[in-house]
Amino acid sequence: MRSRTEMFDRSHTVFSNNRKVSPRQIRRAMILELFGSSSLLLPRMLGESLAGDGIFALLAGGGGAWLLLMLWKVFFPKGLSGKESPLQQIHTLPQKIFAFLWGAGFLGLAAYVLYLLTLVIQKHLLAESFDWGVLLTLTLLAVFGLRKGLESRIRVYEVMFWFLLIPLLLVLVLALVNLQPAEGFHFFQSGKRDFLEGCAVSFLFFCFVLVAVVIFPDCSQPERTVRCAGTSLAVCLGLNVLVYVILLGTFGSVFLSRLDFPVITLMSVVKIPGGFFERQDALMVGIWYFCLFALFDSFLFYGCLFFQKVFSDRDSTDAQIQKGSGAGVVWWPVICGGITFGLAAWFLQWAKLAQGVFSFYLHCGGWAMIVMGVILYLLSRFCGCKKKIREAIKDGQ
Amino acid sequence: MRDQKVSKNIRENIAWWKAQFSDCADIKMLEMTLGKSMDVPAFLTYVEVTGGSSMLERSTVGNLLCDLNRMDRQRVLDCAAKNGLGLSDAVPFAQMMDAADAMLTGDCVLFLDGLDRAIKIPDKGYPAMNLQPVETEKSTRGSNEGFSASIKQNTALIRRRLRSVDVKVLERKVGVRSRTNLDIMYMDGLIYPEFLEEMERRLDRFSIDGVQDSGVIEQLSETYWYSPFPQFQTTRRPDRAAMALLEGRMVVLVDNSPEALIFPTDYNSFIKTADDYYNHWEIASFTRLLRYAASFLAMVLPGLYLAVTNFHTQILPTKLLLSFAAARQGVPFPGVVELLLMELSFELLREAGVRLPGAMGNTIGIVGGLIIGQAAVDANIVSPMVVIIVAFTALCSFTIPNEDFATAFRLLKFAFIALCAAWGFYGFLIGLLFVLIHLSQLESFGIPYFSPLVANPGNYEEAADTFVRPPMELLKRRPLYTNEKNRVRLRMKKNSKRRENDRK
Repeated sequence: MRSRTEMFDRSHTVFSNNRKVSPRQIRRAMILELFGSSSLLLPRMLGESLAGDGIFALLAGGGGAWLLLMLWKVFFPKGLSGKESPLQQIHTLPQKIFAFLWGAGFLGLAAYVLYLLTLVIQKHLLAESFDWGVLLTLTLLAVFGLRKGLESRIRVYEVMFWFLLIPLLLVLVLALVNLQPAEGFHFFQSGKRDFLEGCAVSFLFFCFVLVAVVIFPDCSQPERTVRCAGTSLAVCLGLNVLVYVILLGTFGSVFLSRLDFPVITLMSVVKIPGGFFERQDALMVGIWYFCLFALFDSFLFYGCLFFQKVFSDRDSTDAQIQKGSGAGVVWWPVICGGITFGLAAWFLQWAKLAQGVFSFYLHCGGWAMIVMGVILYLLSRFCGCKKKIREAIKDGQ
Repeated sequence: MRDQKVSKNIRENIAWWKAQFSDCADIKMLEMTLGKSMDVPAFLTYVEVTGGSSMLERSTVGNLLCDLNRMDRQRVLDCAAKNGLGLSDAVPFAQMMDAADAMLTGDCVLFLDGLDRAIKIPDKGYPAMNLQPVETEKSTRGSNEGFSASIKQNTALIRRRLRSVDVKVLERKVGVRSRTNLDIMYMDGLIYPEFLEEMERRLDRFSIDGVQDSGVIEQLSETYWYSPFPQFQTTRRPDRAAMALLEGRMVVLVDNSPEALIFPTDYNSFIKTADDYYNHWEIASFTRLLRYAASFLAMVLPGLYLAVTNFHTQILPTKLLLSFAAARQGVPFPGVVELLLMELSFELLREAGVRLPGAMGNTIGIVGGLIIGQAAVDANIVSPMVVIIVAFTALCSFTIPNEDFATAFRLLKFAFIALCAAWGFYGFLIGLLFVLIHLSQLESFGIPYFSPLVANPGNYEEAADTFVRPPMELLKRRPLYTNEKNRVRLRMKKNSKRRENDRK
């Protein structure tokens, strides 16, 4: 008799296949993941120096990320994590080095997002207490979420998507209706250097869409993956512009740059008709909680994925993920979760270190990812040919 | 299988019949010889409960068979061909499929060698089965007939609602010592055969001494044994079971158990009721949305109350907050203790109500609730607000149509109380995310629990019947777990569009 895995591994049915995500799942998860971090941090970073020009910086950054996505689509038509990816084409040692660097990069990002999420929760929900408990519970949840593989993880955000987006849009519309355009809207007054920096910052935030190329082989319709990422980017860009305009109009550029998380502060000042809620910021923090958790979980997942490439045979781990049992499925998320927890705890102890890491990612990490992509492309073109020739000779052709 | 004419050669008829009703344990087929010299091969077939005891009683079939045994071959054939076996209601059929339909309505069908007709012998039909009305899944419209403890009757109750040759009944024994009958019913052509294979594999996985109820089979066949959420849908309503068969799902019946198991299942199936399809779509959709909200509130409301009153008082308007504070004046316990006291008292009342006999159980629920609630408020043990919250939560949990499903939320409610008491709204978010992750990972026979909201390969017409119940005319396709070759449920005939002036 066929095994259960064989039985339900049929693409034409609805039976869950933990290795394949649908385009809708990618779109929804990516919108939440992109929106969470960008709406939380970007307005503050752009507000002070750019004021109204921040809108153009956002659009330019988003456009740049979209162009890069298109470029990567051409460079890596087979994705970055599958069997036919350029990572598999190159020699074993550089392959492992690349996988390690990418894995480490993702885990560092996961740790920073976990730190950020902890800060948000502490500031708005727990009154600056219980930081270790928050870190631990979130890490355990993330590890628990990774237990059944990529597709099961994304289901959470697929279900939650409209439950998060509808209240957010409602509050944003209410805020927009009551908006009194203040001194914030000054256009074409920022310096060229400030504007370019703003563009670069927003570009690097939106570069997250490049993970579409990483999950390319895991999508049930690979040809639609990049298009979905593009849609997510467009939706997210629209939401960010809306949030930025509202924040600028509500707080003004100077006050905006002094707020830690201005978008959450906005939630506390918007009045919902009917007067049932006095302030809804504690409730609305839930939106950023889910969005940031999705991002944290994603980074942790990709960290695990690349570390598996370094230290173990991915095919066997994939099979274990599919089956939902086995040591690999349990231990890799636990190890990577442990590392992330340690890093985030370190960030909590030394806030300057966290800022340093953030600056590094902002100024070097993002560009490094792009440069690594180009090198990987060149290596795969050059070494990949040699490897194919070697393998052909070995096969006696 | 294609329809064919009734042949004079009884072997051909028997072969067709056996092929058509293969895997139908409830269809009885008796090969016999009739006539004084026992030289007329005959074939009698019927649905088990309709004719099983007739052979032994003074019934039409019993008497007829006795009479035919006194005649010679030619007379038997003449009597059947020309005289309708001497019965005024006997109906001859020339087509096999007509004979099959006749049998499924509850009559016996007799074939004789040398006669190219099948003869329907009207007998007692589906007997009045001394059925119990359902207590837990009551319907405001439609039958309230419920399953009984007899597996034969239960199979017949479904068969009576689905008189199709495609309804199959696989019979097997479970329990090494109890040798309990277990039937798996399904609709041929609508199911994915993999579901059936998987269920049989799961049944083969264990060997137990005795099975006294379907609950034992349910627990032994579940994949996620640690989950409080049921992975089989249970029902006592034959119409729900019949609906499930029409949706391409399967029904497990166990002897001595009035509870049928339906698989595969999902969150949405537990929220639906039979009434949803009997009432107009507007009210059905409204009540279904209410049930969704109730399932959520039954789990989180007490926890949210604690989070808001203990941690995030800024959410509430000042007047409301002051009235909360005034209501709590004089109560010596913290909010969480108050809430736990009331919740546990309520659970005790519920448990006592279930154990006590009928009318007494209802009385203790009402009287106990009122008296204990009022006395606790008067004695300043709990605040009136907590009584309102506990009562509203109980109302929400009673709104969930499936008892097993509601129990999962009742249990999780206590976890939410603990989390929210410790960490306020953060505890609520942690709990919610944990439940969401768990439900996202949960599957019933490979079908995601959140189906069709997740992992939908783009078949949105099949997923329409989820949060709302679309108008009947739009419910054209079966759900996603039906075999995709047979997803069409409703076809509207051409020019059948309703017009405003239909009534004129």
